Amino acid sequence: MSRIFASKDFLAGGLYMAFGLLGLWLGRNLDAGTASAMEAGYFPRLVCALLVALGAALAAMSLFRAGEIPERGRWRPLVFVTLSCLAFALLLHPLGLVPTMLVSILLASLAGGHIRPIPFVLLCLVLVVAIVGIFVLALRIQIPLWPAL
Amino acid sequence: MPDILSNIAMGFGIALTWQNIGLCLFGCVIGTAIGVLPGIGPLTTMAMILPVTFWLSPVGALIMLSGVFYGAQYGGSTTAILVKIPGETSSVITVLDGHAMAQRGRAGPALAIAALGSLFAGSVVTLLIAIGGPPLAKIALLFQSADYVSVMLLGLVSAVVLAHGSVLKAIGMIVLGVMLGLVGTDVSTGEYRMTMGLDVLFDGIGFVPLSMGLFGLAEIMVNLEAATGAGVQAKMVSGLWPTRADLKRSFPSMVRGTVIGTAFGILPGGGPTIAAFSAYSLEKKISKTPERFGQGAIEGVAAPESANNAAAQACFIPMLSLGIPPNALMALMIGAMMVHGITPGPEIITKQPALFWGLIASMWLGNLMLVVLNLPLIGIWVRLLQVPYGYLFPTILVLCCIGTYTLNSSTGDVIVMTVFGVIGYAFRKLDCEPAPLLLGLVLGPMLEENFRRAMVLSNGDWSVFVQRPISLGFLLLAGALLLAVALPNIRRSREQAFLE
Repeated sequence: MSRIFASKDFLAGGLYMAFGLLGLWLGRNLDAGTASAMEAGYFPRLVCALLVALGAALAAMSLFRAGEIPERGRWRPLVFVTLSCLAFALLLHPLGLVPTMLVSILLASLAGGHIRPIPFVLLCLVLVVAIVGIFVLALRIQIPLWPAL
Repeated sequence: MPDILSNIAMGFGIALTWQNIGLCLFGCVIGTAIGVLPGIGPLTTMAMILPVTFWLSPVGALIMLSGVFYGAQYGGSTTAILVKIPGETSSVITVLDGHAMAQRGRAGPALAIAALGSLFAGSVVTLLIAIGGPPLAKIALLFQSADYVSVMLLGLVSAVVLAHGSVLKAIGMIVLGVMLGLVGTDVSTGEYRMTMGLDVLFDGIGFVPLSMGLFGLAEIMVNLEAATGAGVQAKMVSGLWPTRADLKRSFPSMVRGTVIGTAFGILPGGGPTIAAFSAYSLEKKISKTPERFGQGAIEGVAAPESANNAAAQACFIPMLSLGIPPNALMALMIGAMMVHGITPGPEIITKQPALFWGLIASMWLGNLMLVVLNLPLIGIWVRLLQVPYGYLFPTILVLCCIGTYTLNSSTGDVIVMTVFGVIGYAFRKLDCEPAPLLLGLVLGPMLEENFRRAMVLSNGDWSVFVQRPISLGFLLLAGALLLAVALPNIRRSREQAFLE
């Protein structure tokens, strides 16, 4: 892949176009109606088309000048932060809040930040006690704490 | 005038109940704390404590949330001055002269001037909201759908003009936000739109999961790429009080900063950051000794610190009087009002006087509390900086998850948040600023509704937007703004303003 196609502007333009096309495709069955009697599809189609056009313009213009290339990222933070949140979403109902939080914190700590084992255990304890105290005991939010047997 | 006085008295009656004083203090403390801590901003925090506000009275909820917002402006400057780390983007410019002063052993006066400047700006603008809000709301009652469409377009355009970097990119982010705002059930026909058949999306993409993902999670990922893990050591501060010469020098700067801050705060898409930058460049331009700037000029602390607080308060003017949020934070406040069943709009001031005046009175109270919190208690906040990021980010992450979940007791929302975390990370890498997207998300549905209504009323005639004088005025203003960015001259100075 040549440098030009990896520039920030070109990629951003491509991203906008992808979102716009996705929107047009997802809304393909919506009825547009007319300007005086708009149906559900009129405004979304207008907005998505505009987004595709903007993305195309951005990408096209980026070809005419040397743009910046995005900095290389590190995969650990991206992957483990994402996994940690997904684990929270997927485990909360089967496992309950306390085990779920422990899994999430463990996955989060793998993302980086250099935390040693003993402080890690303390952090888990403090967070579990504080969050159960605030959200479940004080605010009475209905969250299962332990696995339902 | 006596009307205003009695209203303000009523406001204080509400703000000075024990419960509301407590909430105001709580908001200010949290605000200062997250202001001090880099890597967590007022937006994420407000979204995190939004679920807590469901258990409060509407006025209590707003008092606490606004305390977080303007508290963060105070806290952000503390770290900018002491350790050269701006806690908030709005304090970036304060680093230049504030930290230079600290290196010369004048950290105390710099902190004091920053706090006093913020207090001054905060009080003036609060007065302005009290005086200017009600008449503005009366004008807004004359607005019809076409006018609303145009004023929102003006808002979106100025958000573009004030955003960093490429104009085209910023427009794209706003349009993307509008598009995301359309996902879910169409209010007029009841049809599901662009939901991919997922039931979490039937009610639309939530503001909270989206902003937690784009701001909270993406921020963590980016910070971890750069983080060293260790906390920061700061020297202790001795001798807080500025000299008489300091005060004499900084007072005119505070006044100018307040004026600029107010202007940028009211302007849709504006806000504290751009206000602080503009105030600083103005001071440098009109100073007789511009070479002192960057070397510890006290004006370089007074002006931006007054400006960012003025802007933080002035944002409330369009939010309270028109019901239109000028930036993402105010959009969140509107979200909080809607949760409590209050419809934002010009009727708030007349129909909910207790809410409006109570909130205003609490702002004075809050600003006063913040000076006390920030000056004598500075040592506590400095110590907070020594908390390593390794402890901080798992805490933020878990709070983001729980905050998003409790909003609707939906784990689907947590997944939506995660998806937007990844998208937000990509945006960071591509230099796409996410704040305009959030504004688009909130304004999108309002824009569509008014657009449809205007077109029905005009029988599909597009010229309705230029036939009504109010609407035409807003459109011309928006056009002028766009033209201004396109002119090479102004473009250059805009780029310069962001570089400095």
